Amino acid sequence: MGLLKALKAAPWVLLIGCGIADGPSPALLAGPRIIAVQAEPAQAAPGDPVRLTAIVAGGILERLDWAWCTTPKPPTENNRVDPACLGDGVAPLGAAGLTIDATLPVDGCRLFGPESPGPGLRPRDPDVTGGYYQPVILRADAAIAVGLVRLRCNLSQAPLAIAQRFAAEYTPNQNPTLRLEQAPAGDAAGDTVRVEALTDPPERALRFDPAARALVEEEEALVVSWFVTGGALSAEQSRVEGGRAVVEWRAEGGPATLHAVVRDGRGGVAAQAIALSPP
Amino acid sequence: MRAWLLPLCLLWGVAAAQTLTRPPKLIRFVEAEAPAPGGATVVLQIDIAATGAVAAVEVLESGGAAFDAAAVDAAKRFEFAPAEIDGQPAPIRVQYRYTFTARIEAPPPPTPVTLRGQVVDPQGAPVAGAQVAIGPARRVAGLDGRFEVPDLAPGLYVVEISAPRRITARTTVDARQPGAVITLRPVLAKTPLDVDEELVIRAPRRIRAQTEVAIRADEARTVAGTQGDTLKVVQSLPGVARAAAGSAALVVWGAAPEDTRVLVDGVEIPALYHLGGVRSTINSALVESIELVPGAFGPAYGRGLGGLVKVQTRRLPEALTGYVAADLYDASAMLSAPLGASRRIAAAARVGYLDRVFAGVVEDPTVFPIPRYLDAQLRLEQDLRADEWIGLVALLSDDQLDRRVDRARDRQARRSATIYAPYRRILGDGASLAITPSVVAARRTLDARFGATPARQQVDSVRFGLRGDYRAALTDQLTLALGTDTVVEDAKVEQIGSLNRPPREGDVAVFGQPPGDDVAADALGVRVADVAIHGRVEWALGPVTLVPGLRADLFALSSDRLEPPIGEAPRLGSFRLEPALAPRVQARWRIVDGLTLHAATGRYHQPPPPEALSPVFGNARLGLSRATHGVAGVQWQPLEGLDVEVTGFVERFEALIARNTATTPPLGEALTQAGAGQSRGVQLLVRRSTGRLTGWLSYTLSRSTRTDAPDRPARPFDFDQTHVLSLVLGHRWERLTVSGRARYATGFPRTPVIGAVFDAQGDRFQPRFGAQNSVRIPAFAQLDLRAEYTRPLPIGVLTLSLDVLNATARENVEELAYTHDFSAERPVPGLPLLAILGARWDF
Repeated sequence: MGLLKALKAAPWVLLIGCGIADGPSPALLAGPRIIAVQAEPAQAAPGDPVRLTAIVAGGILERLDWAWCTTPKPPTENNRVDPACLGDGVAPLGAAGLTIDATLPVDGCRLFGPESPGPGLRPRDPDVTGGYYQPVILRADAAIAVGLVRLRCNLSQAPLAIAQRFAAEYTPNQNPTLRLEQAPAGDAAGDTVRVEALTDPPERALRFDPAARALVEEEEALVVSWFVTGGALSAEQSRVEGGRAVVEWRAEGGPATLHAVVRDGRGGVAAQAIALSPP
Repeated sequence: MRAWLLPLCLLWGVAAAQTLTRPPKLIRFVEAEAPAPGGATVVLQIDIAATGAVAAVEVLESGGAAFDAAAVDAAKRFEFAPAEIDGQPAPIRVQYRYTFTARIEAPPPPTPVTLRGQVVDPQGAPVAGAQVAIGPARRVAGLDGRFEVPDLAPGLYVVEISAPRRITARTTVDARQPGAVITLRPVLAKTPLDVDEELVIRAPRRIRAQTEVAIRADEARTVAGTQGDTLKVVQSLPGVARAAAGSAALVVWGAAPEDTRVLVDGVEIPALYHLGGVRSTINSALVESIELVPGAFGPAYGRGLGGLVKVQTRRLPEALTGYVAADLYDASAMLSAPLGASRRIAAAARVGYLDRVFAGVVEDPTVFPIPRYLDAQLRLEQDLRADEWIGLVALLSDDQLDRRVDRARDRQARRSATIYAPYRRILGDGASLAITPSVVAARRTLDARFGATPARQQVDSVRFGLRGDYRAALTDQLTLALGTDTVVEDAKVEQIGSLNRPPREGDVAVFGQPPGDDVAADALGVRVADVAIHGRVEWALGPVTLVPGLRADLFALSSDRLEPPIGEAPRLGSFRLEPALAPRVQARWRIVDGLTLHAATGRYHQPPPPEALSPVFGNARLGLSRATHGVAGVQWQPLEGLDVEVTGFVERFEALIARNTATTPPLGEALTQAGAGQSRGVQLLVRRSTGRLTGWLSYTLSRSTRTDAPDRPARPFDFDQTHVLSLVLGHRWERLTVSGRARYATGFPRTPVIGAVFDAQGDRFQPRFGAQNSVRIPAFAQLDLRAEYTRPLPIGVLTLSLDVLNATARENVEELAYTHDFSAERPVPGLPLLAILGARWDF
């Protein structure tokens, strides 16, 4: 069977670039962790007030520092923010709590949006949903998290008629809803607990398609991320279909807490937690 | 015997008042039967009637009674178009001289002579495909080295037998005995590497590039680690960095893979290897030789900053030959056949089934990007005259590579068709002429999706090319080479996704990291044309040879979009002309027999690839990148068949295309030409090319750096490898050939991860990086073995082969990967011990 083993192992050679190496599951919470950042409203214009909430799971974070990122990232940067925003390139919000009220910087659409940052300079590209985001930096001891607040900006790079129609017809994004329910014991195998995440129907929204240079209406895609303080989950993420997503938890010890975060792909977030006990 | 009719003059008995408006015209000549050998002349007076018929014939000057009678008899059967007087047909009288030339009896045709034989090497092994030139006749020896030239007129002949990389043999054959059958057994020894002149049949001597390393196809096929693929031997030649497993990249002397050109018979092809690097795109059976010129090449070639890989295809034999082969990777076949006395055809094809092999072994084949590939070749040859032929060659290649991991999907596809028509002629004065029109159609597709974010790039291009090369010896010391090299490429580019996809050299990223979530889009047409003329003089001054040369290019770069689309701004195109002068000089000094010093330098230019001219993803204003190469070294042949070469090199790169690192770059300038680089090093080659034990040891010590912008510090080149060592040995017994290849290479530079940030929207960690390319993947070492056993069959020869890759099962590290939160590093292992059985039947 040596050859068979060799054949099984050989694909590694051909697979350079295929993925991240194995390690502990990202769904397992070994300690307190920021698992999401929610803005309310989920989309706002520069200068508007927003309430920001850090969703922490797996424990309690004693101190949380907030700051707006003020340095746009170069187009060549793969990460969400410019490295400067992990250092001095920020505007501290002067608060230390899980929830803060803040005002979006007024230059958000120029620094992080479709408006040109200066004469002859390249504006930002949107994400696949047509969105632009104001980054917010959260620091908890040595850990750093980046949250994004979806900006409401005009389509300054689109033809005038399209920009006008977009301004008139676009509905700002709203955070999704989320409710967790533990399924009856008979719905899962003997040593597992089945949990359902229930959401409202996804929103539909206009988007400027840069390839077709036209407005298209698309339905947002809801995805649930699962986290647990103990045991094992059948999935780390689940796509919401028909208003529900399902995960199975297998106990490997005592009770645990299951956290779920639903994201709508447009910056909208909702989170819930549920306590689980071995069946 | 031949009789000649010579009009002397015309006398016409017409009244003075009448006017001859049209003289008579002989429309039917009758040849007289000469009554006897020898010559004679008879002057006749012929009366021509108004109808054109001969009315009467008289003898005015006699040539002898018998000749007079014969001439009169023939003249009476002449027919004329009648003369016209005053516009009307009229009788007329003319004089004719009828000359009988002396009869020369032709000798009886001699019984023809036949010359046959077998071309062998010094060990007695047949040399396939050798060119045999006997007077005006030319033959190509078959795979068994045999040739036959029938129907030669008896006489003394100078016979020249030549083959690439072998010393041309010349001999005089006394074939004056009619009907003789003469058998020859010419011996062709290999050309020692320090011989700077390669003898081409009756053509002027060609000066090799100073750094050129040439490998014969049959020698390359037995090298371990190539799985019988001739062209994969390039990866073991000096100056070539070890490519990552699963990569088809050719990194030569620290130049970027896309800066090295691959030429087949002078025509640039899109890729030497299929995706994944498992196989080359050209069937080995059609390959005569491979030459690697890592730098400082002559003016005949351009449009590349790095090295050259020149593949010479094989002239087809005048016999039915072919093969069928199969192994773990693929199956292939080739058939070559003559079509009459002067025409030959060959067709070959290969189909890869690696994906289907692994589909039955790997539990989830969708996870693994197993390459699917096929290629096909067609070659037609037509002899025109002695030393003149024309051909038609078609090369097809198709690749697909799919990869799917979690929410990410990554598909690469590449398809190309290369068609060219080589015309070659050796002129009577020994000059050579080569003309090669070509067309290359290609499609490259990168289609990936990272979650919901697309990343797609497709480039469709058609490139028309025309090469013309002329070489002639002006004197014993001077040879002139002139040529033209024209290319016109029309490309359509479509791209959507992040600016960082596909990745470029110099991008800071970690293995498996998805690109940014930004999405841009563009579609444009691009045309790049280059008209070049080049020339060089090969000047032999005793032991010193100087080869000054010059290449002049005129590039035309145009695209139909200069700026990104903004609002309702009209779409503007761009057109620019960029001239480039590239002087190149080689020098060689043969100090004593077997010891030669050499040096070369030159300037090189390269236009941007079509996709780089996108105003959204690149920069429509990009121009030519430039490089300067300099090499110097020594070649020493201490023993017959043993060659030692030491070569130092320096390459400087300017105006390289690089990412715009500005936080807010100017509109339409996602790429800049602010990049620069340098590569320097020294390489050693010890090669034994005769005897049963052959092979080479190559070692390259080099350092290659890049600067992405003037204000940025130099960093190691992404493909920099400080040490690359290859030892290739092969031993041949009667039917068994065993070879081994040992390799050691420094790991590629990588950028260390010093921390991580949680991306709360993407629900993933993102890495924080340290100094760019400041760490390296662990060094690579591997031993490959190959055994090949041949057995004659009633028809043809059967060859069984066994390749063992990574024979010591060493756990090499091919990449550095990380856990999801980048808290721990995980090596991506390389090739395990892998055995590949193959079978091949040649006939």
